[in-house]
Amino acid sequence: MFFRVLSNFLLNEKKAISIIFFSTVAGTAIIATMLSLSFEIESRIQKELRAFGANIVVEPKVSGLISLAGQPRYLNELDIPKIKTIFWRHNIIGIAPFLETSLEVNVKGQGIKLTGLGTWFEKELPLPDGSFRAGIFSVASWWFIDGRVPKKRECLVGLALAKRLGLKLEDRLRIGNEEFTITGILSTGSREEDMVVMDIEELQRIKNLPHRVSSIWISALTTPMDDFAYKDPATMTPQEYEKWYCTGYVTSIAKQIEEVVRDSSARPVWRVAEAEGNILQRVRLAIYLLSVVTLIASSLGVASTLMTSFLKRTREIGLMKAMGGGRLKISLLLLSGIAVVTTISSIGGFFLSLLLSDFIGLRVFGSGLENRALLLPLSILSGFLMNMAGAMIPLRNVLSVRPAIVLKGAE
Amino acid sequence: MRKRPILYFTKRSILERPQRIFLMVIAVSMAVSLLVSMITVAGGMRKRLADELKAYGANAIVSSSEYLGEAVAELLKQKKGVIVIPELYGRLCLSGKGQLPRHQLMLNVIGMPSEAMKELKITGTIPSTREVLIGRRLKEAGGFSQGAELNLSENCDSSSTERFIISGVFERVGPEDSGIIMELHRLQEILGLKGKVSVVLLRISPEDFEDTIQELKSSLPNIEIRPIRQVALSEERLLKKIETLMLIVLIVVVLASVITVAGMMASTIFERLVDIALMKTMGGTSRQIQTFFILEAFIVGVMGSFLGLITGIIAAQAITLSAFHKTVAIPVIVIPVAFFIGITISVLSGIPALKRVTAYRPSIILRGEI
Repeated sequence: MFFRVLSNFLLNEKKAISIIFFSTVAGTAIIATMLSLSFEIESRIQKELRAFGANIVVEPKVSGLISLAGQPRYLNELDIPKIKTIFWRHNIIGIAPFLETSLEVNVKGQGIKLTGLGTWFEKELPLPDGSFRAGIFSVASWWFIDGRVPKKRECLVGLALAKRLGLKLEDRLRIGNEEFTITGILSTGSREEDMVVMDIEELQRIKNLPHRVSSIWISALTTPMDDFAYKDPATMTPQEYEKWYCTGYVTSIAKQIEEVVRDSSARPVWRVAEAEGNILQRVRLAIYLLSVVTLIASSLGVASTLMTSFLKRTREIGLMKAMGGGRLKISLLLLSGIAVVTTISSIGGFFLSLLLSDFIGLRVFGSGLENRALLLPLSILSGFLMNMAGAMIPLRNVLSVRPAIVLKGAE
Repeated sequence: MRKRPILYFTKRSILERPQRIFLMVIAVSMAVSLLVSMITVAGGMRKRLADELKAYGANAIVSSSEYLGEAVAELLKQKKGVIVIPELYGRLCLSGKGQLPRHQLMLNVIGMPSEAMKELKITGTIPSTREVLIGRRLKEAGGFSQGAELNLSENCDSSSTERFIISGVFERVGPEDSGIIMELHRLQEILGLKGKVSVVLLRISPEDFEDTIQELKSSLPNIEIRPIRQVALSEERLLKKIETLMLIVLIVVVLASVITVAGMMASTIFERLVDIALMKTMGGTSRQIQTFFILEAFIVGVMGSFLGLITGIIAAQAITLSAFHKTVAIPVIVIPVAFFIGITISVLSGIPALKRVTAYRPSIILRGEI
């Protein structure tokens, strides 16, 4: 009997069911899309924020004022691949070394003292498990070369320097007893615009500084700093230290880098690291809260649809009551009808949300959002929450109808 | 049915079916409130994020091949929404005992106004005129501590040194960290460069970065203003991304909620087949009946939009307040948009159903054959 009435409802009330169906599909799809967005917004925005440049800088360690005054100190270039072997290696998404030295340059027959800067432009770092593309553009996406990347016996000149000395593309500079061709004018909006920039190997060769680098810039995905992260590692208990070391804070990643690069001091670029943490937290919170608002609003929308469809069935319920149906039995019957529709439509909503979140991911971040299987149970759960909550009020209303009055058509 | 009967019907239909009307209003208001809160949060997000981005530092720089007059900084300060930080670069000789060759070391020194030092990462306090901040590398190299004294002079040959107390340690990363920072006017005095600065750093709101740069360039033709690409470019990209994100989410959410509401509104019309048939038998034309339903839908739309507008604004304020700790300005545009969308959904979603329903013959409906 129960199943006959249920299947009758499902088969004959097509109009009512289709309205519940579509509104539940739409509601769960919105909720699931917002959820998948809020799961991923943090990592997506963080990747965008990495455009603000390196957040860790490695420099030679200093000890004694003499180390600032005397011969410049260097790091060893051969230590750089080790940075991609630390615990947080997968979070390191950009590396570029720099060598800064003075250069005696002969420009159009005139000898001048300039600053030379060597770096990696495109560098394939061999690693135990594959390779890693490092280079200046992985840490400083804003470097702009009007021309092309320099190779052997070639260099770039900074925009300010080019203006000052009247240099242009294809001009030649004499450095030592070698000729360098200018292949591009470099704009960075910073100190580099006053320098002669070339591949680090070339600068190491002409200055006879094999494998020497003055600093290394690193771009790493990090966990935003919290109160715990600011604690001085030296004062931590062993348990605290372990927790700190194994969390991807910018400070703990810097510490691990220091351990693999000999005689180095790795420091967070606070300006970048702190601003990044703040922005991430804010955007994440805003998206979470928007999801909550969406959840509430969609539930209300779906609930009101459901109420409409319940009110329509007053007469039917009156009849059931007149035939001796108890409150429990009638509620069970009504709710199981809704449950069947809800289950099917939330699964539909889940699949629709896959399309929607892929669309959002592609349009905004250039790649679809990862569709987690977790969203399927969440969609069904939210569908049920939405519909059962929406069903409660009208259910109470219709259960209290007096069959005689309803059937007479007086209500 | 003339005009007055339509009004009469509409009034009765609304007053005597409060439950149904209430549900329709709720459905419309849900779509409108989502729309309003999304627009408001998205609009405010750009501004709030622009505030947060301030922490990345200056995004434009004014420089020249010689020193700039401090007057330039004063001129730039008059431009609204631009933060101006003049800096003077120089070198001073540090005299020390024991560990230095000939007991002396040339240090890079930056002079900047005290208020600009608040933006630095400092352990310690902002220096007064007799105090300096030292860079982290200098501190590590020299083993200096807060409160220690430094003897500085303009060049290493001069015999007159001035004594400064270390008020704190700063960290900027880069060569500056091996140097010191002191109050701008103090450094000008020591170097004999009264009223001169090396560069003026500008923090321009990324919202109207390009316009402001152009404006400054045309009003101050003699100086060179350049964007600091690292900050300016990245800000622009980030804000664009966030904006696109919010826009697309807005479209998706509003579209989906419109579908829900439209379905419901259409269903309420089918529900009233008998009423329609009755009106027809009483001599109402299809047109009059449609007018009646549209009028009702219009009123529902107005009420729903109003409710949605209020809840949407409350939701948007709550979100921005908890995420950014500031209230958000309500863009005036949301008011017409809310009413337009609310009324449009309410009226348009019923029309196809209405067309179909009014085409039925009343006798068929009243006999119960549909």
